[in-house]
Amino acid sequence: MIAQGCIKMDKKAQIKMGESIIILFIFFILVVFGLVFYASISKFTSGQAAVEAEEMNVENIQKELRFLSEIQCTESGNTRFDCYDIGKIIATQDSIQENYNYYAQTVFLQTNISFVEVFPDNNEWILYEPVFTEDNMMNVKGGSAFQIPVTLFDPLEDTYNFGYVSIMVYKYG
Amino acid sequence: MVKFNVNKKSQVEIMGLVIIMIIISLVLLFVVSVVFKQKPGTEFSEAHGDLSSTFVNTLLQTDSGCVQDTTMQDLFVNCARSAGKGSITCDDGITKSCEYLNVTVISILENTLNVWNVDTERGYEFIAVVPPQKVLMHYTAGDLSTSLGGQVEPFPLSLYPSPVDLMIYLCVGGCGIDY
Repeated sequence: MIAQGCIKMDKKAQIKMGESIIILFIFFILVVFGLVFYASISKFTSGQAAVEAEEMNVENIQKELRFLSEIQCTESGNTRFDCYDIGKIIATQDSIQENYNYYAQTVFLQTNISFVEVFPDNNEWILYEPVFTEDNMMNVKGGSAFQIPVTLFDPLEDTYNFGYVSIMVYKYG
Repeated sequence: MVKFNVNKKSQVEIMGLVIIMIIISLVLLFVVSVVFKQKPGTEFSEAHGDLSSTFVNTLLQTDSGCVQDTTMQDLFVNCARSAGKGSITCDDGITKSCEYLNVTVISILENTLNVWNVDTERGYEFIAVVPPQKVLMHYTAGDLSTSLGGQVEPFPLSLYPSPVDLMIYLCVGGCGIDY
């Protein structure tokens, strides 16, 4: 009788242990699931934040370019919106080289800006390229290019051509 | 004594249940807060939406190269007024405005939007139509079937004295319009 009672108690204890193991198992699955979910969400949001910061940077550069009187198209003293004078772009390239620090620190920062003519001809003018130091170069982890369609005025031919401005933003690691 | 033990046991079980409930509700709260968190800053998505309007505006202002002192806008209007045939003959003496427009616009689209991977990412559609049914141009690139449709903001060009306007659409992700 006593032996039978012992067997019954053993069985009960085994069932209880099984229950505890299952509960612990489910608990750990929930913890792992939570961690994986949190990691993926934080990765996604940090990636999104980086993209947004990049895009804000491009927006600011775009605004700077729009109101950069050195390269704007003018007709009888009036500026034409989203239009850039090729002659002025070429002249400004030299000016930027002479005053590199000013443009690098206050206007274009660490971006690459070029104007590309698509129609009627294919041409490209690099307005600004950042100069990287060795340390900077090591930290650059690629970049993203953003393109904005613009009109390019050719003063020699007196034509308004189709082109775009390409703004390359560098990523640092 | 036995009764007291049973009571204690059930209290411990209830505590376990309460802890499990708290954990589950915390997990749910976290999921809900992440899912319904407001997306910050929509400035660039608007700027991205501006792509089509900037593109078409720039295109219309561009000198055509067909005949001196004509813009793409002039060619579009001429093509629409002449029922898709084109009454302007280009400087080469052969090409009519509609044909020239078709070739040039497709070339510009391919050298810009295709180079920027808009065609592979979402696809796009360029349509020039005089309502109700006169289609001057319809060019698509990329797979639009996977897209839900993008910006459907037309650019009207007056065909005065005709009461109807020429509508130009450039839709990233497809226009999804019937004409």
